[in-house]
Amino acid sequence: MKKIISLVALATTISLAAQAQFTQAKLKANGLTCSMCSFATQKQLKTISFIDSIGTDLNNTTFILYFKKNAVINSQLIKQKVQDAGFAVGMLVYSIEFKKEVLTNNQFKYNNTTYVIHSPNITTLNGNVEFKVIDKEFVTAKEFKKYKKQIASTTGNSYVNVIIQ
Amino acid sequence: MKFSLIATLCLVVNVINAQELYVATEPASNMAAQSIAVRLNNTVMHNSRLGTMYRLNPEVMWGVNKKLMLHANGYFSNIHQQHINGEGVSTYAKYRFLSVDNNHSHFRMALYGKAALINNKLQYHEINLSGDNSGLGAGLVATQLLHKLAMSFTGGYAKALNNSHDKLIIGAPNYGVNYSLSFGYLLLPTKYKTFNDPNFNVYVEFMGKNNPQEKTSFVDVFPAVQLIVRSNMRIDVGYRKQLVGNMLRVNNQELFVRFEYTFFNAY
Repeated sequence: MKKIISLVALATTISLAAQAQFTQAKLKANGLTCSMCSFATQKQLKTISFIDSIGTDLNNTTFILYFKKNAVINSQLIKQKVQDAGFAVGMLVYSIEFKKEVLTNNQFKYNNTTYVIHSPNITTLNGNVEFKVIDKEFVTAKEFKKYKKQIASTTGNSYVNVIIQ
Repeated sequence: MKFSLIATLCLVVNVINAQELYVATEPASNMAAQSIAVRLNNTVMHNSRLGTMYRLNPEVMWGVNKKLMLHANGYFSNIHQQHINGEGVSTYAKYRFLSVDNNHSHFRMALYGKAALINNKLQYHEINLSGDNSGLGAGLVATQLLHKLAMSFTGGYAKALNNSHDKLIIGAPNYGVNYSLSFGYLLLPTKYKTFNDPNFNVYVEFMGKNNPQEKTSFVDVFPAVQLIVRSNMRIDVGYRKQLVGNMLRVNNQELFVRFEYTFFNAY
């Protein structure tokens, strides 16, 4: 029995190690200009448990979110925190580190979330790749119109639609 | 050449800032959810008939969620008697129902409601739910932030009720409409380095009231300056003066000073 447990533990460790690593994200908040507003947004983002630290570019109302290692990333929570501060997500770009990941149907899975890549035929991902989230309320309403039809079949909580930056 | 011009323009647009933290009115935007702010609002008035009058209005504001915020106010003044007295309380709720956000711009709309319970003597015809009258009010706010400039319009209705210790004056109006047009502009800093950079904003607001029952009205102008320190402390100084009007009011001009502190993620 002990052997089985340790085997399972080993397998989990290996699968975690093989999994892509979300290292950071570039987040642009829209609808704000003043430092008080950016401060409110940063304070909201700081309450997210999977974020390790936050860098800010006040002049462009952009935040760099540095993620904890092996953390479960929740895009919806990031969006919710920006909205709680009173603003909107204008752009969210993830930096993900891959170890020769072979893709089927332009998709990869990370902690029960399927990331659907809407860029022409991607078969393998390796090294650092930047993905921009194109789901509703992750881009401006105007920009979303462009993607709406394209992502209709993969919209929902278990999907994140992205394009390669 | 063309490229560098475009690049320069983009840079200018990126560092441009605007403010809508109006001094006399509320914008359609709300404060951040789970935040609490405390304010000390001070108003000083003077005229030869009544001498110097002072009103202290402590205020607590609460960002309940991204759409709803609440204010609670207390009032103390010597406007209606010789000594400074507690005058009563009011509460204000604002619900943001529309928000269209873009890069460095937004358009928002909100509905508000206000209720006041005041124990002052009723002596004037201006319906003021911020210290003078018990009553109910409601209205609409629309705010547009456009690069350097933030503009806001408020239109509302106020119904005066009997004060706790005094009945409405017979013949005086018991309802009124109010409106305002506000402009805000961020002067400093031109470029941010840290959250600790002080912000300096200038405002001019026009506020009017109308009592349709007696066909009286006034329009005030309210220029103000604002200093924001460490992104959570704020000092406002403004001066309100009547431009035109024929309504019976306490005074036609006043000096206003506010201290505010915001606790982000207060709970």
